[in-house]
Amino acid sequence: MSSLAWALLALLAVCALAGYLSATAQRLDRLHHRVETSRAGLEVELTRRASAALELATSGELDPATSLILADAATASLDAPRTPAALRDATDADDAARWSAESGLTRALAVVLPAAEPAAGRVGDAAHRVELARRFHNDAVVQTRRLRAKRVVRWGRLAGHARLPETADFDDGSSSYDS
Amino acid sequence: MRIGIVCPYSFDVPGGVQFHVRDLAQHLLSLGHHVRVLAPADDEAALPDFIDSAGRAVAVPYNGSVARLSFGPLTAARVRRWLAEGAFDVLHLHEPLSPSASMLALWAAQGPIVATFHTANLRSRAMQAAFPLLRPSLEKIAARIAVSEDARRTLVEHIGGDAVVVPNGVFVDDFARAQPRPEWAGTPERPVVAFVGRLDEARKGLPVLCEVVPRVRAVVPGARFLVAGRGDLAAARALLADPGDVEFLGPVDDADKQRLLASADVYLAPHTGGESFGIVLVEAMAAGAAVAASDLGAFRRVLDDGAAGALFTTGDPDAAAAAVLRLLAEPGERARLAAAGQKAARRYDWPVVAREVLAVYETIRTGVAAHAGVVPDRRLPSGPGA
Repeated sequence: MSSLAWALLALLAVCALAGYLSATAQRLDRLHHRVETSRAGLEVELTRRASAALELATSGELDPATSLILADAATASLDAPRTPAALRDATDADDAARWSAESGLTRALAVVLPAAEPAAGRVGDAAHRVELARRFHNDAVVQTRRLRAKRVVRWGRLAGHARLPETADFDDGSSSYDS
Repeated sequence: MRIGIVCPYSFDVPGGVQFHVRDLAQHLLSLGHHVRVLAPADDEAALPDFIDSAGRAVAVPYNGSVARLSFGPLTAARVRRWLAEGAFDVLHLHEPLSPSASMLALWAAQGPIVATFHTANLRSRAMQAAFPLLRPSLEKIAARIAVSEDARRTLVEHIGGDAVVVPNGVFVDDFARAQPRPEWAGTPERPVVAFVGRLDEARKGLPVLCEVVPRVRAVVPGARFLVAGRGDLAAARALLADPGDVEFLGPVDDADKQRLLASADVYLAPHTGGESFGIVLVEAMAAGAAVAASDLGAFRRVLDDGAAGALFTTGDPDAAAAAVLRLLAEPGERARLAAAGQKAARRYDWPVVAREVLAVYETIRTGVAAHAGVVPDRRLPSGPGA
């Protein structure tokens, strides 16, 4: 083969590689966006659950002891530090304290809600949304981490400076939680 | 909310996914949402007015049976145009792993996408070979729904990630209100055992049923077996020792199915596998029949581990016959299970199920809005336009 043909072939290979890298980068970008939106959604649903729980605790519908326990768990959740939703803005802030506060609220609600019908309706609804949002977020995180573990992403530095997302590991009251 | 729903299977033939999509769309419409459905169909004029045709369906062999699917550049172009014209807030795809309109819509769309996995046919070799090509599309799905815990597990094991469980819906009241048809109604001497399902798919359990029939009639000679469903009648009769033992009703419409289930003393579900949910069990329960079913994972869950219906070892005609005979011999137990079944069926009533589907839509929309900086206050009444 002539050297021109070789050069053309090499050019073709470079183009194919560039196309593949760009497609993968686009895929990763889409996943990062999904992680950020699902995380933002989870934050909203958690805040709604905590405020609904606090509202129930201060409504006077529960006995004083239960009210105090629920109010304590709800404020712990509301006061826990929030990490920014955007992966690029995030520091390596540890979510562990946050998640333990959320697990605490879930357990408090598990004790309080069955006895508090029908006043519990709105809180129960918010708790269900938290379950959904956590599932969707963790689904996005798992798929993002899977792609980011690939060699082409690591060697091509396709992820830029975005932090590697972590799953939200707290007890949301659904049966599939095991740890 | 503007909702776009895509169904991969043709509305020219009846099927579980098609019914689910139609009923979901109808219920969401009744709540005041804007809903369009895209599905393959030969004759657009015969469709309800909320369904758009994705093009002619072609019968192709796929995954062991002949499916009526729609694909190719023409369908892809139609799907893209439908997406552009619809300007949907949420796109809800059904069975995105079937090579048809849903897969093309997923490929072409972006934004808040929800996908429901009905059956998890992920083990096929074609799927394994094509999977690397499908994965980038699947990553666009913001919320995955599985119709049962079993379907969710298959999904998690085979493609990773997670899904939420939202069961299939049934218009429970239609079944609960159905009146028995006199010629189908059971009497103490001639109790009626019913079965609804395709005759030519062995996994629906007709071969097992045919072995149950003589065992039951040996003890209760008057027992009648009514079987409704499409398929080759001659081949089905050939499975029976005495072809007169079973009354085949052929395909029945919705109204007759409801009346058949309301007429039955016992509903027998001898399925041998491949069931991810078991909608017909819920329908029988809603109609007030006592259910006896194989102990498949999906059936156990619908029947609350036996609290809402009798369970027997899958594929064992002796165990199935024993379960049916016990229900026929003890009217008290039969009435108790029927009542428990009717109560359990409420869990699958469309208003309940549609609320869960809407919660999924709203959850992903909340994330998108919050990420953009606006969060709607849910304490305000959210009307149909929300």
